[in-house]
Amino acid sequence: MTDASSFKPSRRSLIAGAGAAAALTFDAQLARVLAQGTGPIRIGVLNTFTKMAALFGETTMRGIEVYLEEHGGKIAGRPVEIIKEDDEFNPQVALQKLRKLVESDKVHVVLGPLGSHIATAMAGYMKQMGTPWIITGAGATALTKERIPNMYRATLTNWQVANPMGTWASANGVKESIVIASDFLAGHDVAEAFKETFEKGGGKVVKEIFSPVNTNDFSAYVSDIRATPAQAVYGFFTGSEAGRFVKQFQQFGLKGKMKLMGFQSMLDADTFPLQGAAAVGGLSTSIYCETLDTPENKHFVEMHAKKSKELPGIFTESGYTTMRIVDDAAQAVGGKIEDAAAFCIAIGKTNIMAPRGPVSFDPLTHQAIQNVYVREVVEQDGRLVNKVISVVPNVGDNPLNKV
Amino acid sequence: MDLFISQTLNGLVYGALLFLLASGLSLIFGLMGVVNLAHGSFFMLGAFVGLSVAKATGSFWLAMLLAPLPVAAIALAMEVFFLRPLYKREKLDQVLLTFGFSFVFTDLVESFWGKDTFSISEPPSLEDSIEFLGGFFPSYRLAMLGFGLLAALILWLIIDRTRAGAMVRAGVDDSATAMGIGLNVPLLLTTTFTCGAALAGLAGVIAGPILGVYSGVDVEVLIPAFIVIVVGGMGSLKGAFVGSIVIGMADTFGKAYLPETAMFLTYVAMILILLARPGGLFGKV
Repeated sequence: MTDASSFKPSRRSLIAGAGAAAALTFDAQLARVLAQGTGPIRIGVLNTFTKMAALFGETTMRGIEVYLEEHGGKIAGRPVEIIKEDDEFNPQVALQKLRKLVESDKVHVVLGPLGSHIATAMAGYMKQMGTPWIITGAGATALTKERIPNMYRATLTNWQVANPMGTWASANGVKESIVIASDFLAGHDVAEAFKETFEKGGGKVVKEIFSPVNTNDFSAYVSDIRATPAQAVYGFFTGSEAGRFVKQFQQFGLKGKMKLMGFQSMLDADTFPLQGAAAVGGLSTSIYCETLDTPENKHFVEMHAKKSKELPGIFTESGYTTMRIVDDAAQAVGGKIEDAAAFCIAIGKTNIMAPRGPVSFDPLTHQAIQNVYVREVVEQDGRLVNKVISVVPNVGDNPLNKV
Repeated sequence: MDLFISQTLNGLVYGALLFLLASGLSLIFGLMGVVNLAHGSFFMLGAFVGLSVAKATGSFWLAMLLAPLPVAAIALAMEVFFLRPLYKREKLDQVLLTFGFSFVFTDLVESFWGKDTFSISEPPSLEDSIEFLGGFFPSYRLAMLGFGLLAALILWLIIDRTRAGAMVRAGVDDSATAMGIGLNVPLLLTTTFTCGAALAGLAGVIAGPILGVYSGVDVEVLIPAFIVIVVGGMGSLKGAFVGSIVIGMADTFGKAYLPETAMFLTYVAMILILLARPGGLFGKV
């Protein structure tokens, strides 16, 4: 599923531009560099556009498109060609598509993927090829432990987001909690990170439940949760599973009886349509909140409104901010994105105010350092939104990744 | 409410849902000798049509009433124009055809409704939970259970007490002989296939508030439905009923008491039953 987007220049304007550049200068060396630096910037987007996680690939892509439309389809003065590939949430497919992007399309930078298992599969190949790579979705904490010089993660890590929730819960009167998570890498990653700070703060996790991926019916689990004395539940679910869990949490009369806390993906703009009123009052932590009252976010939400009726979620913001990072770094190297080493160094120097707040990279692990927001779901103007109730500023990478 | 009672209820509710799907699947298999791999797609189509009807009219009941109709029409066309010409060919060809159709339906659904996950809201009168035995149970789920039992009763009356039912039973037992004594087996097949599809479509709407509505739900419900008919015995309505309860219980209690092995437990139940009775609980051996 290749989608060469509409930001392709015509061949004629390209040749004309290169010709003009050559004519204006007498320095042959410079002319060559300029000619090389005026073709389109090719950006490979490897994400999941089919199967259960399709929604996230599409919302990430929407963020990328919003940025490009806002900037007239150009980055650092050069036209942009987006080459979109679907990894089908399958590492093997992802590697084939990645080879195509890097070796045959010769993209200048790879953005993606969504799945941590896919990022893990990509790591060895990307390290070997040295193509600049910015992760827009995969949150496995251990990914940045690898220290791949050409890899940057412009989004959250599971640890970064789940850890502050544990601190907040233990500091806000939750004594006993249940942890329930989808039974795959990220679920275990998140459960462990929450438990770490929650128990350090004096709380106790009385029960840990790992439900099979794509569980339809949570009735057995919520009945089980009912039978414990815990005052809160901390959950990790994404997409449709998050929708079903939160709904069934309410249907079994747990809402009002227990505090509902979760990972950002469990109570997010993407899942509200599935959850309705069941989500109201739910608490979650995230690196982004659609109602953030900053000029950067207001501008982003306004731009996004031109493309969608929904409010932007974390993946849309991630796509948008990643493009901003690419743009800034490309400008810093004078548009010569072909110089991968210099371009990577420029990415590492990122220090911007994104819609989500300040973003910079850890010089050692290349993980984004950013604010984490504790959010509560409220109803506002007839629709559900997250509201920030507490901010943990500049959360970096897991200290264990730095040793 | 005692945890055991509430988990039993959960198991029965899941079983009721499985029965709506497995009964049609089982009867179709009994008559055609072919596993209909597009049966889950009928469930999915019903769910999506129900979603649109519920959105347009705001009425869940209307969605329940209308959604099975287009599904039945599609199934009818599929049986008459595509499956029937293949009856003289090998069984594998027919199975492959239904498999192909399941892809077509998935793509159709994705092009009409997209890849998002939707949810049908339960009717307002069933939104709350009922308090009894000192515990809560969602009233919608109780209604589902009641509906499943009602459907089982009606199906049993039709199959066991009516002339049409007797013809279906005869067709399942031995279609060649049935044809020999003058039964119109192709018509029987078309009718059963269409009604089974309508029932699956109805199940899709009913499951909408709980399972959600999304492309891919077809496979997720088809697999447990297969386990049900293998356990219950292919072609047997009674088997589908008992099998649904067994698998519903195994799944629920597995999740509750051995959460990490829940998926595995339904298969253990299947293996144990097949070891004791290779044809399923009520199947022909």
